Amino acid sequence: MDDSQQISLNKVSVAYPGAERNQLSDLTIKTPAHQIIGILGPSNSGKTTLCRLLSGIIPQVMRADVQGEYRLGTLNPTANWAEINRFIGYVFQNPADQLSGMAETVATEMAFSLVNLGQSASAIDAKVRALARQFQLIDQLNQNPATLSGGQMQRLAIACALVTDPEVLIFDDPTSQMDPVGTSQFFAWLKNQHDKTIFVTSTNVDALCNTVDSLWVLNAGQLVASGTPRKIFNQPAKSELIPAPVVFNLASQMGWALPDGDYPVTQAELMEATGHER
Amino acid sequence: MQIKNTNATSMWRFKLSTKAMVLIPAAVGINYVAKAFAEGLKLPLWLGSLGTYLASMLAGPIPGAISGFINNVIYGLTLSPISTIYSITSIGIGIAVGILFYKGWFDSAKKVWLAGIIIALVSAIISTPLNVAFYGGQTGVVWGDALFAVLVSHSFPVWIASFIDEFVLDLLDKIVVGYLAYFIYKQLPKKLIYFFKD
Amino acid sequence: MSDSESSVVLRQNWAQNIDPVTKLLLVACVLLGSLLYKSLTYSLVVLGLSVFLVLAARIQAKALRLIEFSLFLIATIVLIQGLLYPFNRTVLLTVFHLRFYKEGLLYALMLSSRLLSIIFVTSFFIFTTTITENATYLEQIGVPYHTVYVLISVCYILPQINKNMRHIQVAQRARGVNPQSNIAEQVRAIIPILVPLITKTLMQSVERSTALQLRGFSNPNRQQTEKLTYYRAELAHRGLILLAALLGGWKIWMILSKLV
Repeated sequence: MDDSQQISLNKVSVAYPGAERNQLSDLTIKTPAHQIIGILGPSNSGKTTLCRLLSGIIPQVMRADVQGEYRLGTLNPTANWAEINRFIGYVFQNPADQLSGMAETVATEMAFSLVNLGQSASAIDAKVRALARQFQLIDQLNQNPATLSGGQMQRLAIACALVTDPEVLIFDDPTSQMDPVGTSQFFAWLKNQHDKTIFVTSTNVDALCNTVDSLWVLNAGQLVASGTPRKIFNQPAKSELIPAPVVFNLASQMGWALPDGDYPVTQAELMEATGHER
Repeated sequence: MQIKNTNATSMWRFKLSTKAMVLIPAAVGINYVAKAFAEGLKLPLWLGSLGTYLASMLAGPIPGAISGFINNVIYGLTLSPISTIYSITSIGIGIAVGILFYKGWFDSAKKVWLAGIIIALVSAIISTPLNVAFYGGQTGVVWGDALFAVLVSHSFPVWIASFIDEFVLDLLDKIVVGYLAYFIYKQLPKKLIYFFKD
Repeated sequence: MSDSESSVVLRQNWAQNIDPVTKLLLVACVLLGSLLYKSLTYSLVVLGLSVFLVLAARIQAKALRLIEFSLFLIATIVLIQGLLYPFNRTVLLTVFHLRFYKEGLLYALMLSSRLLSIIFVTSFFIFTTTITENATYLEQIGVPYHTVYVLISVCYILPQINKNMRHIQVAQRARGVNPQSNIAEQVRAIIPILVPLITKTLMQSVERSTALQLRGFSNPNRQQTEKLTYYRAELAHRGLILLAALLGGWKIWMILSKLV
C-alpha cells in the first residue's frame, strides 16, 4: 500500500509552550487509512493532543512544539484550512463547547458548516433533514440547541461534523455524556461507517474492541501498543498498563480460547470461542 | 520553539482573529458574573470590569477596549439603556489595563495598587463629564452621591464634587478588581495564556 | 434585542418593517439630540417623541419595566438637585425643614426627561427586534461576519453563564458568606468560586474558537441563505446619519462659540 493510503507518524513529539515535559513522546506508527482506529488510554495520556495534531488544530490554532513527521493519507490540513470542514469532521469531548453560539435552532446549528461553504438553501435543507432523521433529532429541529439534553446535544455535535460528508472523522471521547443505550447505539452506528478514516478516543475498552479495526494504546504520552485489538491483548509480553476488555478477562479465566489459541476480545469472537457461532 | 520576543509595537497589533472574537464574549460574560457577585453580596463595588481587565491582560489593550465597549453597548441594548453612554469609560479602562499590564505593572502584588490608582484616575476623568451631563454630577451609587451632596452643600463646584464622588468609588473598585484580575491571571492554565498571546 | 418569538417572515407590528440599523440610528440621534439644549421644554419635546414611538409600537408595558431600574436614581437626582442646585433661588416647597427650590426641581426634571427619552427609544429597538434578525441583517449589509459573531454571541453567552451562576450562588449560600466581615474578607471568600468559573469560561471560549475554525468559519465563500427586506432602509440610514452628524456638529459649534 502506498503512502497516500497510510496514516503514519514518525518519532512525533508534541510539547505545549510553557509545559515541563512532552505531551506526546516519540510516537511512531503506521496504519492504513479508511479504517476505524481506536485510541485508548487513561486521562491525560495525550489522546486529545493526538487528535489535535491529526486534525491540524496543532499547529494551526494552538501553538505547540512539534517534532517528527506525520501524514494523514493524502490530507494536508494546513494547506486548506479555510475549507477544512470539507475534509475533516471533529467532535469534541464536551458538545456544548463546540456549538457555534450563534444558532437559535438546531436546524441552523446543523447548517452552519454548509453555510460557511456557500451552499444553496435547498441543498442545505435536504442535508440537514437527512441527518436529523439519522440522529433522531427531527423533532428538535426548531428547538434552541442550549435546551437539548446531554445525549441529544452529543448527537447534534456528531451530526454537525458529518454534515459536510468529510473523509476523515475524529471523535474525542464522543460518548462521555451518553447513557449506556446511547453509547452502544453510537458504536453500532460507527461500525457501519465505511470508506472513511475514523479516529475514536475513549476509555471504554469494551466498546472500542468491538468496533475498531486498529487500536492505538497511549499512556503518559507514549504509544505502548498498537495493532488489532485481538493481537494487542493476546501478546505474551503485554504491559499491565493496558486494561483488558471484559470479554478477554472472562475468556482467559474460563479457558475459552479461539481455534488459533488467542483469547477473544469481542462479543462475536466470544461466541465463536465458546462454540456458539451462528 | 521558544516564543519570539515581543517588540515595542506588538502591543497594538490587532486584527479581529477568531481568538479575539471568542475572548470578547467571554470577557463580557465574566464582567456580568463579577457584577452579579458584587450585587448579590451587596458589596460597595461594581466589579463589572473584571472581564475587561482579563481580556486586556490576555490579548492586549485593543481587545480589552473592544470587550469593554461591547460590554456596555450590549448591556445598553438588552438590559439597561444608559450603559451605552459609559462604553467610552470602558474603552479607557481596557486601554489603561492593557498598557499597564504590558509595562509590567501587574507583575507583583505591590504594583497592582498603583496600577489600580491610575486606572481609577482614567475612569474618573472619562466618567465625570458623562455624569455631569446626564446625572447632574451624580454617579448612581448611594454613598458616592451622599458624598457628592455633602460637597455641593459646602459650595464645592459641581464638577469637582462629581469628580471626587466618581474617583473615590473608582479607587476602591478598580484596585479590588485589579487584585482579583492579578490573582486570577496567576491561576489560569498556561495553555490558555499562550493561546491568546498572538 | 429580545428573545421574542416573532419570526422574521411574519410581521405583525408596523415597527417590524423598519430595519434594525435604522432603529439603532434613532437611538444615536435621540442621544445626541437630548444633549443639544438644556431647556426643559426642549427635553420634554424629545421625551414626548420617544413616548409616542413607544406607544405607537405598543410596547409600553415592556418599556415601563425597563424604566423601573432607573426610577430610584431619578428620585435621588430630584432630591439632590432640588435641595442643592447651585442656582437655586425660589423655594417651592418645604418638607421637614428641607427647602426644595424651583430651579433645582426643574433642572432635575430636565435631566430625568433626557434619561427617560434615551430609555424609551432604546426600548423601541429592544422590543421590536430579535437577535437573529439583527445578526442576519448586519451580515447582509456587509458587516464582517466575525464582528457580527462577537456582538451576537454576547447575547447568547449571558443566559448560559446565568445558568452556571445559579448553581454557584446556591453553593455560595451554603458556604455562608459572613456579612459582618470587611470588604477584603468578602472578596477573598468569592475567589474559590470565581476562579474556576472564570477559568472554565475562558477554556470554553478556546474550544469554541477551535470548533468554529474546524467548521469552516474563516471561509470567505460564506453566503447567507435568506435576505431580509425592509421599508426604505437605505433612505432611512442616510437621513438619520445626516441628522446625527448635524446634531453633533451643532452641539460642538455651540460649545466652541461659547468659548470664543
